[in-house]
Amino acid sequence: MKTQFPNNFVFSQSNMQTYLNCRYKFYLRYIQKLTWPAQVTVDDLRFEEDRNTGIRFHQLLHQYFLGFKPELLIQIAENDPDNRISTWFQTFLASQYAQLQGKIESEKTITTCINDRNFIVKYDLLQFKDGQYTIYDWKTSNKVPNREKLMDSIQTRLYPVVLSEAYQNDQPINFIIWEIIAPNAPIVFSFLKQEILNNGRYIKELTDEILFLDNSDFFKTSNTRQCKICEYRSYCNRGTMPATFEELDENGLNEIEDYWITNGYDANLV
Amino acid sequence: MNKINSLILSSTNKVYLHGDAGAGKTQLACQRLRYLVSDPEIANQGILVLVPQRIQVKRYQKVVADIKASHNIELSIMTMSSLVRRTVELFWPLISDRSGFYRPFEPPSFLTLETSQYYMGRLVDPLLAKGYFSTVSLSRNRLLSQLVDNLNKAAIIGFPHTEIGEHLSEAWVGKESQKRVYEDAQEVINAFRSFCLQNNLLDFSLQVELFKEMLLQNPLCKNYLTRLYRHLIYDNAEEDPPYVHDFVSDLWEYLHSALIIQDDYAGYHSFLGADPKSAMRFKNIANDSIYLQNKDDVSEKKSELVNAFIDFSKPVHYKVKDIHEFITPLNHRSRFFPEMLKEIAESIRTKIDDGVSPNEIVILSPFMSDATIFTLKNELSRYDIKLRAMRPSSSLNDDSVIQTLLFFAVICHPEWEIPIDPYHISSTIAYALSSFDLIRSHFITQEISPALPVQFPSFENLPESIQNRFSDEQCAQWNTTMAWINANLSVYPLDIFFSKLFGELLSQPGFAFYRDLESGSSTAQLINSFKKFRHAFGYQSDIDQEELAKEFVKNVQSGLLAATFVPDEQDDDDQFVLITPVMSFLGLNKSVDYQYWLNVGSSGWYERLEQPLTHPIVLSRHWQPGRKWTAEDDLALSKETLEKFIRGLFNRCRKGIFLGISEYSETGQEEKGLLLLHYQALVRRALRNEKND
Repeated sequence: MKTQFPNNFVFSQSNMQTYLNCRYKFYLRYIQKLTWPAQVTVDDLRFEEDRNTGIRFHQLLHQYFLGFKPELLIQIAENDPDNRISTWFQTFLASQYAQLQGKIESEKTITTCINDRNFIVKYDLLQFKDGQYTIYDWKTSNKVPNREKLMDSIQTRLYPVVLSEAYQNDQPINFIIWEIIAPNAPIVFSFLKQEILNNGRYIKELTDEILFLDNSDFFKTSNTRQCKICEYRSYCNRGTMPATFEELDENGLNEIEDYWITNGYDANLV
Repeated sequence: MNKINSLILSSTNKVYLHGDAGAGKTQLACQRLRYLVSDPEIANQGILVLVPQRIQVKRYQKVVADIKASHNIELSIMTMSSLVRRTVELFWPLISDRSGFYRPFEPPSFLTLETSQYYMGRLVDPLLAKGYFSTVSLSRNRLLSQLVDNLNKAAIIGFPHTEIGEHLSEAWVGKESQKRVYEDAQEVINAFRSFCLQNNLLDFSLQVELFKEMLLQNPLCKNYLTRLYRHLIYDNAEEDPPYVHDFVSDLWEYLHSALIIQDDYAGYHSFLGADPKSAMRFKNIANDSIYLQNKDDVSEKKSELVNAFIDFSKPVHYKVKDIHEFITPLNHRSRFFPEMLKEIAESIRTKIDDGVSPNEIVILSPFMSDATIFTLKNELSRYDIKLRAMRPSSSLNDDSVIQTLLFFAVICHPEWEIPIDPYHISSTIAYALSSFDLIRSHFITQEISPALPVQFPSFENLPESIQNRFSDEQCAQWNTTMAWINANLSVYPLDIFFSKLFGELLSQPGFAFYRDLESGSSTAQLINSFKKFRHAFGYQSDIDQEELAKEFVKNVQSGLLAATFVPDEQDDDDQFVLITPVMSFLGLNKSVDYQYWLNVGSSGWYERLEQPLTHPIVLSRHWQPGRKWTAEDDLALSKETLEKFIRGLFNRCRKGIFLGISEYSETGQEEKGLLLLHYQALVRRALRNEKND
């Protein structure tokens, strides 16, 4: 039977990544909208604390780019209950990213329609300078990112495609991923027009595949390692215990991030 | 219509649109939104859609999802409380050292209604022991909610919170001792505000005050908001309190376009501060005003009928059968309430058999008891009809899934020493462990020592004669349960405990929640509620998790914490008949084909709740200082409320209303409230017409 998607369904980097990890999980989470609040990792509390710290750091940078005085923000950072924030913010102030020129848009959400399907993307920062866009993504994941893995990730492919479409931009787009624990080794991608078009084709094929599957084609993954970081573990009768924080890779982190966005205590804040 | 269309499909005008519910105002607003977001340039300028209730957001989200625009859309669809909270959170550094907080620059903790009441309770309890509020007969939860409500009213209406007691006292005409109660209330309110300032806690009233008095005066913040929102669509403005209208007025000169929508005869949430009079200001400042009317024959007839229904003095031109075409009692007059519920189920079955979609039917009552919902669910399930109850203010503890989770929490936290009723132990074990029955669980219960804490016996510690009464499967399941309990004693924080309990035990094969969809959403509600509770304690590292968890469990069990979470998937499911309190239905802004009204004889349709510590009218912007609130005012308010409800419900019904009338009400009373009298008077006048003919 052809799958009935919810009315307001929007593709995002995380739900597409979920699909790639396990079709059935995608089906339960985004089509059935099944709430299943089992632990995602053994260290849910640690993940929540790290995530909240990350959110407060992103907020500080947002405030910085909105024009708050740096001295005031330093005070806020120093008074934060997590002392990493102060160090991170000092690192940021000392970096080239505190001196960005051009048109700056911080914490920018873009919703757009490509090939008749809706997408949502949230950029940490967009810079428009000398006729060219640069996307910045601040990471506080405590893991040094792997360039090859990032290159293939949905996020890296999708972000420039959505920007290019929504802003009708046919210039090359830079994408800078800055992990706060490796401040001197940002990962920089430069996408030429052709590469963006290629990625756009990949996204189209992937979303075509998702949209035209029958219900029965959303099967469970054969990679049962995925089940360790999946809240539906007991629903699928695939074990009891969740993964530890150390067992998570970049995709796992993205997925958990999405789980928290969907199920976080402020998820219903409208 | 062309003129209306040209006013609606514009991005440069400011329009005030009003009319009856169901006249198509929101539809026009959706058309305007479609128009705005379809134009790449306008869509990028920033559009704010403001709605009074969270549930109204979806309709506008759907408009945008259907447009399939390939350009960027800068759109926010939200309630004012959300806008306030987000703005305060973002601009906190600019105000934290100027607002009296003891720990400026540290992150604040945002309180929910429930967590505000919790903190209020901590301040009130010692005072209750000293004899405060002694002349008031009120449950603790209601006392706390009225104190918090007073603070919120001061903020959203716009007067100092230190003057609440004075306002209430001035309007009071009864016994002098009540004035002492107002003084007590004022003292607690002042103490609560100081407590919040000392601990960086932001309850709703403080958020609103900071937003109005500090942030809107701050150039950086004001500039941010005025640049973010250039186009405004504001639906059901009459359901918001005046501070929202003040904000929109402040924004007005910066807006490129605005569409303000107001329902005539509404303002259902006036007890929460909704102010239709204040919303009418937009009529005067808008460039254009549109009045939208229902003009088809049915609507005109309905409008005439509702006028005759409401006003005894209005002549009736109908015969009884004409009235019964739209509003009618059920065929068979029942003596008792449960009989009437059966009648309703039968009538709904007939409608669905005739091809009516279940989501075109709603069952309404001024209040909704568990017993009524349970009975109707059972009756309807006999016909394979599903019932969905929407009770936004119901208590978390009303849910059997949540009761089961709390039960295990108490068992796994012996340090709390919370007692459990033996009957509850037996029934919960029989429910949670699928292989068990009441007899087996009763055997277990009998072996539990009466001394606290409640501790389960292991299987091998049961007497042999009892052990023999268990099957191998039951024995294995009990051992699995005990092993899990022993491995998870005193797990904190409690949300992690609930998550483990759900994932590792109760949702596993052989246990009650296995593949049970409702248990997932109920558990998520409880976890979210605890998280909010935990986050209300801020970032203090020295929080006593044991005390925090015990307090939470006690508060859920006492009914203080409400289940306010509305899962996404419930909103548009067409497989369910909806049962909900009248007020909640009116807030949905939705019309249906058929309505069934319960408790028609009840005074709950119009009488103000007993609120000895607060007053929705005295604490409003239109109340004249020094005036007294009299019995005549009460009567006038009751009539006005009933009129609003009747009009609202008629306007939200397309085909027919059925009155569930029984001689004895749910509580066994013979009730003859105003609503029933209005209906009887209408029929009597129609009968008189027939006789005259």
